[in-house]
Amino acid sequence: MRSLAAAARRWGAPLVLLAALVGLWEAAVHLLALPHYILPAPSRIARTLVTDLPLLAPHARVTAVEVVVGFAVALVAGLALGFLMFRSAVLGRALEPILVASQTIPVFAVAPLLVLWLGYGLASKVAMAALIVFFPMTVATLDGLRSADPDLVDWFRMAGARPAMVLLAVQVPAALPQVFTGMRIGATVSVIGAVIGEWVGADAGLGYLMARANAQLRVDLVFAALVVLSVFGVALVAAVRALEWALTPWRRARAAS
Amino acid sequence: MAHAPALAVRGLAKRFGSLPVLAGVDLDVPAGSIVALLGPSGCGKTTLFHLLAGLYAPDAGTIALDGTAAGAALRGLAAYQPQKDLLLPWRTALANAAVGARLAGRSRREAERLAAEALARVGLASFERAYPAALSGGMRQRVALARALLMERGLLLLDEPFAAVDALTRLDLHALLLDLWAERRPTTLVVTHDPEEAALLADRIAVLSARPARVVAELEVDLPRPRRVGDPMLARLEGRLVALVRQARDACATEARRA
Repeated sequence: MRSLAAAARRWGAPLVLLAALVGLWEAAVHLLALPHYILPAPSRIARTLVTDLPLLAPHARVTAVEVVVGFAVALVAGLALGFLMFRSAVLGRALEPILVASQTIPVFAVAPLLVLWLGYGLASKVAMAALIVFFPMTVATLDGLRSADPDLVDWFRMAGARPAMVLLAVQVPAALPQVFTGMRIGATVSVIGAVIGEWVGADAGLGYLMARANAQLRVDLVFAALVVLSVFGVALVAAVRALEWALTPWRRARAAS
Repeated sequence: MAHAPALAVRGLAKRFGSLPVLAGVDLDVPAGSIVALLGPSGCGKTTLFHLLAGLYAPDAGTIALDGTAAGAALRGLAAYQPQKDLLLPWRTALANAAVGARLAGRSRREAERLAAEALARVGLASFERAYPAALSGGMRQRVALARALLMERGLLLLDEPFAAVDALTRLDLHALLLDLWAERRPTTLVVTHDPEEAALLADRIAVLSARPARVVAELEVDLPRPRRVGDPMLARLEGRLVALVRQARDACATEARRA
């Protein structure tokens, strides 16, 4: 019962707010008599989600694969590069400004190039999603590893611990909270990356479907695709949170005692 | 258990940039005894401990164990207990204590068994599964003591280990520390700014000046253990210590005015 009450406290307010906003939207569409090809009512979008499910599902599957593979590639690459930059001061100094500078290039500008180089298929979208997730992941890993308490690191060194033990016992656990923050940010932007890739050039996926539906004034289908996309994002963030919960039990210690 | 070496420090000096921290410290800790370093806070004692534990090298002077000069070889020889308990927040009390046994080269399984015994020894048997965040300051210091014990070192360095706990807990921890020390008699150096702590624990007390630190007075303590707070002999010793520390501080202030 306590956990039910806690869940209600946590999710009650956002759910009520969301319901109110959707209700307001529904009312506004009817009161202002807005045509559905400008702004469809939520009820119409819900109907579209059901009736056009056979159309949405295969495109959703394509996008889901792009998002998950892109996220996974960026996760592995970001963890690896962040770690290497941490271990090698020279590499860290050399790469940090370049990495930051690379973030001033808008991803939209790169998308046509990626399609040109990697084609209309999965590869260009995975690259797109990975590119956008890679930077926050690398920075989070590097900053996280650097955040270990220097006194704690010194204690292990004085105690005669080998560097591998200092890394595994002190630096890696100290990095986890920031790594998970990086992963949560990455999980949301990976969806954006995949959809941008699909807009620029694709023959399948929710981004492709949205572009086509938009041209045909099927705005309800555009919104239906958006709903599916946000479900992807939320599901990925929830998965990251679940992993974080399982791997950092000590962060709940104070609450438990 | 490594054997307890005699520690001899000669002319130890260290500066950080233009800041002289240690100005020629001479100090002897006979094998298996407890020496207290009594000095004002911020007098460079943590630097002294970092040098003794081999974290970095001195600018001048030597550190010898059993008469043999030890350089970077000091690393891994001492069990060092700082004022901050420096437990791993992500490990339970049991796993934190086990770190000491792992550092002594024990297997994972053995380390866990020894850690359970050591936690029971320091009175924390029922807190094996607790994370440091769920423990009080005194309990965390007990876990850190258990960890230091399991490192099986002949040299024990305590850097104001009980400065952050309340007075009553501190007395309990003193008694516990002396019990543990009596079992294996590691060569022990304890830094404190509390004359009572020095008088309760030590066989010999060295008084440090303010920064840059050097030893300005030394006295033997020939009171039998266990010593009790309120004992008139102990009170007289404390009185002398307070006078010595005050003298060291004022001499330093005079020097600073002259400079």
